[in-house]
Amino acid sequence: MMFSCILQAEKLGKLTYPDLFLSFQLIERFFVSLKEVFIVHGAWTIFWREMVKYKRRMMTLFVTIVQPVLWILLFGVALGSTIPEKEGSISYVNFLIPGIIGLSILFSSLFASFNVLLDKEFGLTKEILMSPTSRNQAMVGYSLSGLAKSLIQAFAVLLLGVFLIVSGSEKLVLFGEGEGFFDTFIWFLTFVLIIVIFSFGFLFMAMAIAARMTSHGALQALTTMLTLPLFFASEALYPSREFPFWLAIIAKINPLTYCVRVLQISLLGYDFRYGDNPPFHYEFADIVTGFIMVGLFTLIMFYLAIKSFQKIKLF
Amino acid sequence: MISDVNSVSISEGEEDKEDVIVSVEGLVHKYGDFTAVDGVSFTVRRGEVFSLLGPNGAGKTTAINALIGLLKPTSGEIYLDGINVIKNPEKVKGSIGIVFQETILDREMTVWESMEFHGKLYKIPKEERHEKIWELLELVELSEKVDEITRRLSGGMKRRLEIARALMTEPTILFLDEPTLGLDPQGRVLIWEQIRKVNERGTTMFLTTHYMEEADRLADRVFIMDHGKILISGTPERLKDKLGKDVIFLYLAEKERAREVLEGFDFINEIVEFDKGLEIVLNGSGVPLAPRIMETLDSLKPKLAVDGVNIKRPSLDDVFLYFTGRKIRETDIS
Ligand SMILES: Nc1ncnc2c1ncn2[C@@H]1O[C@H](COP(=O)(O)OP(=O)(O)O)[C@@H](O)[C@H]1O
Ligand SMILES: [Mg+2]
Repeated sequence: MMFSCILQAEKLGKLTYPDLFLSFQLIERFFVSLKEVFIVHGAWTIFWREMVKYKRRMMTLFVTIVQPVLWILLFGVALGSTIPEKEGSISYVNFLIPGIIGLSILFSSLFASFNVLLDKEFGLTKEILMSPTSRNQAMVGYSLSGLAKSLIQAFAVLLLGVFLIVSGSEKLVLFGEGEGFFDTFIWFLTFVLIIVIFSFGFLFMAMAIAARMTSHGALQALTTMLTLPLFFASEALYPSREFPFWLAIIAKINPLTYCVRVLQISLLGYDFRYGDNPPFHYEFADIVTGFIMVGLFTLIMFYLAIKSFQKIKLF
Repeated sequence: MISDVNSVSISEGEEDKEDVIVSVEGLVHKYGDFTAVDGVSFTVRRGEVFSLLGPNGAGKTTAINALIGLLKPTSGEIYLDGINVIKNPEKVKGSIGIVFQETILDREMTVWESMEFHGKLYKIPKEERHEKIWELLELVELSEKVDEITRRLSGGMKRRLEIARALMTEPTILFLDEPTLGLDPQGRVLIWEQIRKVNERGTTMFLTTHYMEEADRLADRVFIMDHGKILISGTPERLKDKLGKDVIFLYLAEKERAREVLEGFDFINEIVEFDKGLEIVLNGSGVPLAPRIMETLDSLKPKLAVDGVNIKRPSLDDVFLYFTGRKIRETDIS
C-alpha cells in the first residue's frame, strides 16, 4: 500500500511535500505493525526487567564475564602448558576458544531457570500472568534476556582469548583467516547464529525445568546433573576420537558437540590442529549437520518449554 | 448455636440491580477432597467498600482468587460487570486491580521500575504511564521513594506501593487480600487512609481481613466467613445491633441455681455457662440491669455468693465469635 502510494505519486510526476509526509507516515505505521507482529510486547517487557536487574546486579555481570575468563585461564593456560607446540599447529588456547564459548553458553543458559523459579517464589509470575501478557510471551521474554547474557559471555571469551594469544605473540586464527572481508563476515554470522540457536535450546530447556520445579535445591541438583555429562561427553575440551563407545554415543547426541563443531569451523576453519594431535578436518556438511542437530534440539525444547509454562501453577 | 443463625442476612432495603458490580452465586471450591469455599453467594455494590471477614483458613483467599479469574472454581457463577469471569477470565483482567495477600514485589527493582514494569505489562503508552506513576505515587505518599529499591521499603510502604501499582490500570474494582497483615499500628492506619482515599475516587473496594477493627472501620458491608461459608452479613452497625446487647459475666460457683432464677427475666436473651460462671446476654444496656440481677441473687435464700461481675459491650469481635460458634471469652476482671 505504501509503495503503491509512492509509485502513484511518481507516475503523476508530482511528488509533493504532503505526499512525502503521508508516505513517511505509512512507512512508520508499517514498521509499527511489523514490531507488533514480530516483537511480542509482553516478552520485551520481561526482557527489559531482567536487563534492568542485570545491569544493577554488578556481581552477576562480573560473574558472567569472570567465569569464562577462569575457564580460559584454567584450561587454556594450565592444560595448554602440557601440550607441546608444533610447526603448523595452533595454540591450545586458540583451539579452546570455541569449546569454552560453547560451555559458558550452556551454563549461563541453564542457569536462567533460577530467575524463573525466583519469580514463581516471590509471586511475580502472578503479576505477569494476571496482565495481558501470555505465558508464551513470558517464556520468550525470560529466554531473550538469557540470550543477551549468553552473547555477552561469548564475546567476553572471544576477546579474552584473542588478547591471550596476541599478547603471547602466537598465531591467531579467527573467522576464516586471510580469506577476505566477505568470508570473514559470513563466518562471523555463522558464529553468532549457532550461538543464538544453541543458547535458545538450553534456555528453553531451563524454562521447561523451572516451570515444573518448586525447590531451589532440586533445581540446583538437576542442573548440575545435566551439565556434567554434557560438559565431559562433548568435544569442547578435547577431541572425541579416543572416547570409549558409550561416551562416544553420548557425545554423538550431545548438542554441545555440534555447537562446538560449528563454532570451531567458523573460528578456526575446516582444517586445524593443535599440539601434536592428529589434524581435524571438516567439511561444509559438518556445518549443515551441526545446524540441523542443534536446531532440532532447540525446537524440541521450545515445545517442552511452551507446554511446561502452560502448566505453571499459581497456587 | 450456629445452626439457627446460618447464613443470616441483615439487608437494608431492596438491592438496586444496576448498582451491582460483582455477583457471586453458589461458589464452591475444593482442593482435592477438602472444600475451601462451600457455597458462597453475595453481591458487591458499585462504589462500596465490601469486606470479607474471617479467620485464617476461612477460604477468603480462595474466594478472591476465583473472583479475579485466577482460579477456576469447582462450581458456582461469578459475574463482574456483567462478564462471566469463569468463562472469560481474560476479559476482566483489564477492569480488576489486585493486591495479593503475600507481598509481590521484585526485591531488586526500584519503586519506579516496579510501577514501570506493571504499566508496560498492561501496554500503557509511555507518556500516560509516566504521568500515572507520579500521580499514584503521590496518592500513596511514596513520591519521595521513587528510586528506592523495594527491598528497603517498610512493610507499610510496600503495601502502599502495591496499591498504587494495582491502580495503574484504573480498575473499576480493587481487590485487597488482607492488606494490613503483619503491619504495625501506624502502618495499618496509613493503609486505611489510602483505602478510603481510593474509594473516594470512585473505586469499588473488595477487602478481605481477619482484623475485626479493620472491617468495622472501613467496610460499608461486612460478610463474615468461616469454614468456607458466609455466616452473616450486613453493615458493621447492624451486625453489632443484631447481637447488640450487652453481656454480663457473673463469676459464681452455683451456676445451675443462678440459671434457674435468672431464666425468668424477660430482659435476658440467653444464658451460657463458662468455666468460672455464667455469661448473660441481655437485650438492653447492662448498666441498669446488672444491679437488678445482683439484687435478685442477693435476696435468695440461702444466699447465692457472686465472686465478681463484668459488663461487656459488644464489638464486631463478639459478633464474629458469636456466629463462628465460639463463646465470648471473658476479659479480665477489674
Ligand atoms: N493450594 C491449596 N491446596 C490445598 N488446600 C489449600 C490450598 N490453598 C488453601 N487451602 C486450604 O483451603 C482453606 C482456605 O484457605 P484460604 O482460602 O487461603 O483461607 P484464608 O485466606 O481465609 O486464610 C485452608 O484450610 C487452606 O489450608
Ligand atoms: Mg488468605
